[in-house]
Amino acid sequence: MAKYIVKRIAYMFMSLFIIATATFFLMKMLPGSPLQSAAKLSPEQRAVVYEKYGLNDPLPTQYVKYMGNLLQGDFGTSFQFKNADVMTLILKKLEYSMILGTQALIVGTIIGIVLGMIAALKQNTIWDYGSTIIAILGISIPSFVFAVLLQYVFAVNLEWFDVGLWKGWKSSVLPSIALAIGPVAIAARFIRTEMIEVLSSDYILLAKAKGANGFEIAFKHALRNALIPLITVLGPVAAGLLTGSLVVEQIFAIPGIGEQFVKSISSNDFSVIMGTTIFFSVFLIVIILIVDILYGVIDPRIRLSGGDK
Amino acid sequence: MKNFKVLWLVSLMLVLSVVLAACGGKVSDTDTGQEGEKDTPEKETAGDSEQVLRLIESAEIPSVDSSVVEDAVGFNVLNNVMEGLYRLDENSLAVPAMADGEAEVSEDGLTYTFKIRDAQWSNGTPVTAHDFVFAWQRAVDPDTGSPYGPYLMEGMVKNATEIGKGEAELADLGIRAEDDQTLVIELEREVPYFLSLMSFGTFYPLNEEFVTEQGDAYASNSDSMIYNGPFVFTDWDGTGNSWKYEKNENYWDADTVQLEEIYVDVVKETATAVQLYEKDQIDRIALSAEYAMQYADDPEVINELETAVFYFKMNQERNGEATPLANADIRKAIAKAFDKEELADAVLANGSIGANYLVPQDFTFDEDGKDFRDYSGTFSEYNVEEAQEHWKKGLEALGTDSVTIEILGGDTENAKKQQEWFKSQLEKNLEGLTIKLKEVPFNVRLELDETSDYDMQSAGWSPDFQDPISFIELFTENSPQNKMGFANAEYDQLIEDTKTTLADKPVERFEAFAKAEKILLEDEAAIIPQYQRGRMVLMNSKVKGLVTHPFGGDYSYKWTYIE
Repeated sequence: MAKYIVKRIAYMFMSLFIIATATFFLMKMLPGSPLQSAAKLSPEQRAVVYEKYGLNDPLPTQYVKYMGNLLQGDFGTSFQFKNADVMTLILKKLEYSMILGTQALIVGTIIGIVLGMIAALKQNTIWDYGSTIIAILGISIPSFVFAVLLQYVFAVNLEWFDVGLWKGWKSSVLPSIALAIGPVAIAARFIRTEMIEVLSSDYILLAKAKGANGFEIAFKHALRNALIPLITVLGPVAAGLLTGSLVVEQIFAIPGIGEQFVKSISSNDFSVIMGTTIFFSVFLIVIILIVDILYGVIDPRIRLSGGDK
Repeated sequence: MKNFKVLWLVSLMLVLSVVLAACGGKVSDTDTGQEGEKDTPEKETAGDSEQVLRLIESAEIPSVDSSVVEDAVGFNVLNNVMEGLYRLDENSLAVPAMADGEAEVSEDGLTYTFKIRDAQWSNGTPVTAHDFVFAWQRAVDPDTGSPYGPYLMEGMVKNATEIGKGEAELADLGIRAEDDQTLVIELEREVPYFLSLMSFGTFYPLNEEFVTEQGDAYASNSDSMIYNGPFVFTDWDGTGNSWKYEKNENYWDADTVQLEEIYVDVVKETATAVQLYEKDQIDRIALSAEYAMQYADDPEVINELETAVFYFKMNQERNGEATPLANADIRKAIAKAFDKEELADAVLANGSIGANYLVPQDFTFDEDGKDFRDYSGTFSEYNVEEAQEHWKKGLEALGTDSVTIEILGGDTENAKKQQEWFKSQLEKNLEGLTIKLKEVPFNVRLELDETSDYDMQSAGWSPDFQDPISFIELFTENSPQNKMGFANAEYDQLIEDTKTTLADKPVERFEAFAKAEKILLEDEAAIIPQYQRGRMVLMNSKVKGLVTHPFGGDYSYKWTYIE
């Protein structure tokens, strides 16, 4: 196990290196300048300002410099926010997105699992149809449409929550629900399909024959096996929540990372583009690693160390 | 019956998810600590007149370091927390601020002597002439990497250009402190709008001792700065989406300032802003076009005319070859072939007005307060008949009966709507014309502009100082804004004259600008004006005295109060 994890971490650094390199050169091909007022300056004036930020150097030099700094943990400073340290900037914005994403993921998955189980256990009843409808709605309605609806009903009309802005946990409720609708749908669909398959398998029949009660069968035997494919997709879903919360964050005027990522690209904020890309990559890779480890915990048949000879 | 059950189930799930999410929220609250009840104002304002203003911005603050700031939000903050030698007053006229009385100007108009007012920074140290010297040197220093310092000072302040080239020392810059209260500025040429420029952020003073002590951390958050303006800036962490202004008790004119606090939050979605406004959580919002129509008759709507003007650049030479636009008749035909009023009222519908000019109205005035527009005429007015005459002549000269022209424009919803409209108008009014639309992101458009790789381009300009030259000068042969193969010696000469022989003759100078504008728009139709941008705003009727400015910081809260 330990050997496996070490190997995976080594691979992780290799992937990161490739991602960083590719992003760096792709990013430098973007049209435009990180200076907002670049169009006003004469070429000479522009050159003077670029000199200060090292943008006049040939690309390979810039690349080597950047990677050197990166190895020392220095992500540089932002162009959009003069003097702002990229890592501090990302962490500050990330806090909000993390809160929303985690809540959405936890709540969404739990509700999704419950819905999926109900649907599978009460197959072809009104319960099944109801949960299927929710799942279909969840997949087909984009989270931002749902966000606007929630905002209108619960904030504008009922006034239970704030329309927007971040004023503590209460502000996180509506956006979290809006973001949770996706995970709800995905979890419900997967659990239903898997459970139905598992419930019709021989060992469930055996368990029933042995006299295990319905509850025990549903949770101990069926759910545990049905969770495996769900865990596989939850990794990307989690990453998607973090990066894809942009529109929901804007609707509720929450200063999250999703928006920052997009803005850094449109404003050629090179150091923030690099910082967020690397950060998201690490996040995704770590999640995939965790998912792989979780497999072993849930299903002992899966041996992580693989072809141990 | 069955349907009802489904509905019931769906609503049960919704309610359940609300409850569950609320629980989840509580957990994270303890995790992140303090955030809890932040001091954003939810206080009821009904009845009392608490001097608190609640605003939103559409973007974060990139920087409030006066040497490096280059965007509207930053300049706006600076205008309210700092003060230069001059300040734009309630009527947007430059009046002495840190300067104690009007400046003394030498015969030749090249030397300005300012007495500095008895004023203090927010930490109690006095504001002196040295603070200006330090700030100006810092802004022009290549090591600072300031775009606006060199942009505004080169060719104006003595030796600024040489410093940019590395041929002179910072100390050679044409600004010196004779003593703590006396500041002398030397210019390279006469600059008729110099005093209004002194209200611009880049020229604000900086306390050397404080700035040097802070080093790189200066202006990285609201605590690492000191202020000499009507307000002090607080609760800003450098990248955050909210900040606050508090009345500056050390401000020399603190008696005038009535507001105690101003809260600002960043809200990017107009829909969200409208809801917040409707819930009386903010006092002022700008409306986008779709809401502008909806609120057009609301009593709290205010139309504000901005000083940004939009126009078509007509590229006469693309990739070394003459475009159809190289023919003056073709350009003139297009100039008269679309109805600017309809564009402003039906397509933009946000308070913008059709423009038959380049230099905006309500922007520059002569010494008697007469608008520059009264010196100049209107050009390229909508006239289909004349347009078609020019068009016929143009096609004959080109020896063809059909022309395809590309319009380069932005890729935002509003920009696309406008391009579509231009296409339909021009194709309808000019027979044989085919318009191809090319909609690209802003940065791509700038790059295509840089290489003159377009036929017609929708572009716009907002001024950085209060003088017609900020617009008129854009299209001289060597201007970085030209990039459309346009050159007219007479036009260039007129602009040169306004800087030299006419510099001290205000009336003749304005007349020269008017002549240049006529050449550009009527004789040459080198560019075709579209509209002057407006802003439709909803503002709480209790808010009084919020002043808007045509350049620099957009707003002043110094005279604002809550009724």
